[in-house]
Amino acid sequence: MIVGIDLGTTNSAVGVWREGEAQLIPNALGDILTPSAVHVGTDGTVSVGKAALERMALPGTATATSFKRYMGTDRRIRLGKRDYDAEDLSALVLRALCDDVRAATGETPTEAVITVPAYFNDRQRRATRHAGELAGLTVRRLVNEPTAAAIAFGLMDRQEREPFLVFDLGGGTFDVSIVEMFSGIIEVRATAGDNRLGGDDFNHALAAAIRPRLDPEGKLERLTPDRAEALLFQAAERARRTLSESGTADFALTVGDERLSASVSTEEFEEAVAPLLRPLRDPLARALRDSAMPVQELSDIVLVGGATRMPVVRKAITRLFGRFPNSSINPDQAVALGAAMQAGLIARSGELEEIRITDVCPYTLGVDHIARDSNGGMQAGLFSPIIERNTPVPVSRVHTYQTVADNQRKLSFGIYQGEAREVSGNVRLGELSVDIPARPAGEVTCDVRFSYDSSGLLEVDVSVPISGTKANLVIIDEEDRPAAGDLAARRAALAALKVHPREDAANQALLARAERAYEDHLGAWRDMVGKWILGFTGALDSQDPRSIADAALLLAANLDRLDNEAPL
Amino acid sequence: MIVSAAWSLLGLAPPSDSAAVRKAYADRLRAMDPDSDPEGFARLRAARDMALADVRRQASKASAEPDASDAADDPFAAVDLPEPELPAKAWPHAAPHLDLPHPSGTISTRLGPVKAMEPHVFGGPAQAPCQRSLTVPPETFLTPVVTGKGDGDVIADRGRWGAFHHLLAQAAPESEPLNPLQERRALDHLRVLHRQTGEMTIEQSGEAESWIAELLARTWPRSAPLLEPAAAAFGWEEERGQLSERPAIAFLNARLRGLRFVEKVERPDHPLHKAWAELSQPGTGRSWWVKRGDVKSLLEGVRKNFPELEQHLNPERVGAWERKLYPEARPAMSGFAGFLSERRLWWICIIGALQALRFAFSPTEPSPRPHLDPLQTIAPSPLSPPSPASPPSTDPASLSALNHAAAHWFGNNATLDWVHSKAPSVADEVEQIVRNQAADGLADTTGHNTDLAMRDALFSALHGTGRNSDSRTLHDVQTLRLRALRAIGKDDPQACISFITADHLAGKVALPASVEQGARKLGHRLAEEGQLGPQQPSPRHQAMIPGPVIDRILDKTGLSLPIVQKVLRHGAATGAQECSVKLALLSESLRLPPAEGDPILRIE
Repeated sequence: MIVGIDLGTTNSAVGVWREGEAQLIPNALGDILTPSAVHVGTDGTVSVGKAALERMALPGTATATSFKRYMGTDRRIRLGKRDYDAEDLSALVLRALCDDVRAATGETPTEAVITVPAYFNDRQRRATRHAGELAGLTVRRLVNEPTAAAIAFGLMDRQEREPFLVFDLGGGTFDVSIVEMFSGIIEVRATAGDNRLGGDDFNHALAAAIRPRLDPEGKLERLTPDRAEALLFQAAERARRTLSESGTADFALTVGDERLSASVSTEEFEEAVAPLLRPLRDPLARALRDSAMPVQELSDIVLVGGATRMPVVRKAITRLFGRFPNSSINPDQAVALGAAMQAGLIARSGELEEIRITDVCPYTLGVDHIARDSNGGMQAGLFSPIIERNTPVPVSRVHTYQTVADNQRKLSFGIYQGEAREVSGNVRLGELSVDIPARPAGEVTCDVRFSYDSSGLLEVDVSVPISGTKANLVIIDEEDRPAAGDLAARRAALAALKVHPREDAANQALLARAERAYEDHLGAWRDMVGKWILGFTGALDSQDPRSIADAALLLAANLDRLDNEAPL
Repeated sequence: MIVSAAWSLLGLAPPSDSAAVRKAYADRLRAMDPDSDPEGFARLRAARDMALADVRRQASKASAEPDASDAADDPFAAVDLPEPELPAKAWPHAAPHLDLPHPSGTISTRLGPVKAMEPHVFGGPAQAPCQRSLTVPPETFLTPVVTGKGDGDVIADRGRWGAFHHLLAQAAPESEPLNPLQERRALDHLRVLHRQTGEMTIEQSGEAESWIAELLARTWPRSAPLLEPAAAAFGWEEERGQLSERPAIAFLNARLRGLRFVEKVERPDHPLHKAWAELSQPGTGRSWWVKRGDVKSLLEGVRKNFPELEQHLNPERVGAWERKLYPEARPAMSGFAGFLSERRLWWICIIGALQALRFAFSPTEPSPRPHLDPLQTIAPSPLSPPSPASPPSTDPASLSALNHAAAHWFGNNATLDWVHSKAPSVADEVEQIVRNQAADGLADTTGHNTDLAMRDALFSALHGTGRNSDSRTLHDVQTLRLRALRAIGKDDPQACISFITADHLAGKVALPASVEQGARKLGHRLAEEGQLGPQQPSPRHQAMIPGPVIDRILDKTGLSLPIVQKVLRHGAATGAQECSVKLALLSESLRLPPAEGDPILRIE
């Protein structure tokens, strides 16, 4: 069965196409959204989702969040006794989501459509694909997140739609797509984005602005930087959520035996995040320019991504477009719904037969070359674009290059992705060489064909007509082939990790919540929470389902009361 | 693919509408699998795009004909200024040629103001010690566009945008770099304009940003001090080296690197500082204690990376060094341009990897996202209330001068503190000017400059407040400005224009006592009411001038209709003409019933 997965920076969700509609699958806690967080306890047991998130700021433990920001990089995160990279951690999240699907439908997912930020580059896409494989899934397609949201928005009522703009501000990435829908064709006209801008940045900005006032004596500096950062981040997240509904919020956290607290107003928040609003402008302008679309012709500004709930962001959008945005779809779920619909499309569900989706390639792709400059000198390392950004995909383009030196025996092409004039400013995807016969400079030509498919994967063919060495096919993704054996080993290593069983997820989340409450409170309150935890772990140790269920109910009720009454 | 092939691929006959094209495209797309046939998909897309373009072309051809005759009849149709030939050596020494696209001209309908500029001759770049002059081509990138028809005319808001343009492109004296006061004003304008772009819609702000970039590029090197803050505020450096880098911004980014290089090399600890000092000092001949390798690196690096900086160097000394550095070549020709063309090939050989490495790296890597508004750091915002924690560093003498100026312009019982409490933006502005003057070493012993600063700040605040106030206040303010303008008189058009566009009176102009009295009363009243706020953008951008008013302006000024129209559209006119037309327009608008007159008064 094919599932559609929104693998987000902050939250992930999974959906399937069933009974003629896209359905989102709740996790063991009954939530649609599973936090993209992985925790490794002192005993080496891994937990994923809410239980991991609750433990984020506990001392002596390790939780990884927002690891999507490191997709496609070599950065490794140490949890417990092992290092993990973003692919491993994403695979753990994907596996948890698949367990939820299995529990809900009784079927084991084997194939998946996974969404990625439209502005993910090839390396990041490849890492996402690997994560899927590590979780035991065949990734049938990677779909751009704003495109998925557009599918969900467009198929909501299956009406014809004038071009609309999808504004997708997630936890860690910002994407813009301009999409049109007519006669069952969903056509992406242009895409732009910023890989380094998201809701997390708003938390960091707020935390940085409040920290001097919150902690004038520098108590947080006594903690490890990671832990101080985590505490501040969580407090900022809570304050930001409160500020979305009321004018002031409490920015509060507990360090050891001390409670730090400061009040923050909407005005202060808006001032702190003002520098983050200007970067929203550039991708919007770029997408509009590339699609040659005047703002007046956009029928709707569709909001996607949890960060678009912030009033300050909505205000900025209203100002930028001179009109109110459309928030008729659920910003947290649209992407997963769209992914599930795409999964249905691939499975050729009857209800979706009439739908076609065409997307664009978000980056310019090309090779490096040497050019003669105006002074007659040679300048190496220049970027020669072959596929321009925002070209509809699938696409296949050929450029011809010639030799620059006499008796040159070899032609090498570095393959790059990006918008910089010099290749040093772009992402290097690979390299490809071809042997050529010795001739005077300029006499040997070489055709380079780039083919870019709907999933955003690139194929490069080089052929030399003069020598007939024509079919010199190289698939960039093959560069990882040696890693294929490695992949199985890594999959096995991940499988060997002791993961809290799904049945246990609710209890683990509850326990984590209680542990956080213990950290958050002081004095008598803390002692009381400590006693509740002891009672609950005692019940867990008894392994008697009845008493565990009773103890869980009791603990949840106590914690609810505490949240309502405690002087937090 | 030709058009007929596109139509047949879609299975349509040419005169179809766009809906039919899309339908045909959708049907054919559904019948194919793009992933297995990318070429077929590309052909289908191309056919669709071509057919849609054809539909648009037919439609515009059908509607274009009546329009053309309209334009011919319209006496107010915009006059296209002839595009001047760009002089071949507008930027000496092979500086990157600024090749801007032809102006669209639409910007003035939103942003106002800009008129064609006479060719200016600069006495050299901002810090240039040499006397080489630089010709800047006339400005055509912002010819005004007239949208009014019939018996009225549309004029656009001058406001900050016009004042900024005036200051950079037109304000006298043009042969010099911005003086400290102008620089402060320009930075202040830039800060406000930057904030205003933050309030605009995405398209407007894009146009406004390009407008500013092109203005700075056109007015280089006068605009040099504004470059760093503007680039940081608008994030221009993030565009550097991109395929899509806009020409004006590429030009400015290159200049910016040059400015930074000068800043660095002028510090004594820079390895090439001695060579720089040697080549840039006046006089002839060359010193013996400068390493020739350094001079060579510097000269070659500058010529490769920052050709415009050659103007900072003394050509005679450069020539002397060239004879020493390259003895095997023929004697250096006078002027670098000839030199370059003579020895171009030779140059390329010697520009080695060492120099490339030395200069290719960016002097300071900008942070990817400025978290601090750099404009805010340059001058404290006049909007921010004075904070008791950081009292302005005012010495007793200036304090007494400030108090005296406050009493002079706000009535006998007014002090600086009073102005602070009633009109904080005015007090901030004055203090900023005084601080700048002090920093520039212009000690204000008589208190005269402080008094003038207070006068400017008051008129600027009155003007800004009046435009956004009720009809009575608007009339009071504009009547006062009219009286002031009349007093300045037609015999000093420069002062008159400066006052109209920037609320700034040249220091020597004295106002009659009755006008001062009027300003004092009005300023006191508005300050007491707490109305005297900072300069704000005009709420309106356009106004209709009724036909009869234009007739009376013609009678009063004795000018011809085309000249009056030109002035009203901010076209080229002499200062005296502009001044008399503005005077007449102001006095006539004050006589109109508020419904008709106020919109004009609010933008003038």
